[in-house]
Amino acid sequence: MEVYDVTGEDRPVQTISFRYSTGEPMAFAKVKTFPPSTAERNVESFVGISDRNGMFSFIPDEEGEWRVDIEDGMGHKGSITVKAGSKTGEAEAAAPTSSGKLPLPVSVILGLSLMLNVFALWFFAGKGMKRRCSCT
Amino acid sequence: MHISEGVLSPPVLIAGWAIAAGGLAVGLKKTPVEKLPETALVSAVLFLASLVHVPLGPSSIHLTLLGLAGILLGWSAVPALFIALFLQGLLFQFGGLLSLGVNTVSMGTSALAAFSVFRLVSKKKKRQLEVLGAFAGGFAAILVGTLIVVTALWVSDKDLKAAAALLFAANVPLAAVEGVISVFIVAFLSKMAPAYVSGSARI
Repeated sequence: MEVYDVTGEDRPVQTISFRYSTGEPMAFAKVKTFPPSTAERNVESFVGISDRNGMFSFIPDEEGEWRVDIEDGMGHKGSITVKAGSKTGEAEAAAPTSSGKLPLPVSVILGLSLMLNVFALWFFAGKGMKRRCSCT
Repeated sequence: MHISEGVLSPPVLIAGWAIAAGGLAVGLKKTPVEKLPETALVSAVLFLASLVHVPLGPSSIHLTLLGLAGILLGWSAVPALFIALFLQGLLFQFGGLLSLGVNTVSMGTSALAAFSVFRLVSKKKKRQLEVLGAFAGGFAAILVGTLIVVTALWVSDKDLKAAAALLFAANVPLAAVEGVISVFIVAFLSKMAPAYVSGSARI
């Protein structure tokens, strides 16, 4: 997820681009915004739908960390924290929940290598057990 | 077809893990050591298949190859899927570790359904019937998997009725694509290495 901020306004607009981990936009998904004062109680201030490009905009009316949840109703869900600044227009995005991902080629190689290790372990353990069974 | 973390209710997650554990136990028991290289290969293909996107109209779908896994591996597809799903959740953020049980159940059942359909249709060992069985198996796998995903979502949240219908409709083209892919691979294997197709009667 990426967060853009529009600065220079009295009340800065927060625009969030929601994407699946595959990179596709999370289009027409239900979005809920939780202001800092009620986030803990899960009381949302605004509910909307992302557009066809997975974009969603809202204007925070409170300073602090806003939680924005998205759910497409088909098993995919995400959450992001947006730090809304003062009326001077300062706004910044906290790290999205999906950050810290490895680059795709690294993930692929790491995954295949882990898989090879798991199956090799299974193979040798199975062979060992078979040999022990035939000995006794 | 992967269900993300935080979507399902705790009872559904627990039930998913319980059923997945049973399926895994049977799958491990029915996987002889000699067939592990084949199982590992299919598991690696499953792990990578979700990265392949097929453009479809304005959107795109990603492959699962559940039907093919079921046809080639039978019960061994369950541990193969579990390992592939675990690594997909860990490295690609597809699904999640808590929802791994439910995802293993939905996809494992799909693979087993594919194998049952394939075995039923291609009973007479005729090449044409094998091809037909491969399509039916690949197609049925996606429908069965979607049905389980929809049920899990519905049990967790009753408001998802409309979304569930949408999910089902969206997966019908994927079922057709997977059916066609299964046909090509089974037709190729039955010609070049028939033991991989006919020898899969290990269910």
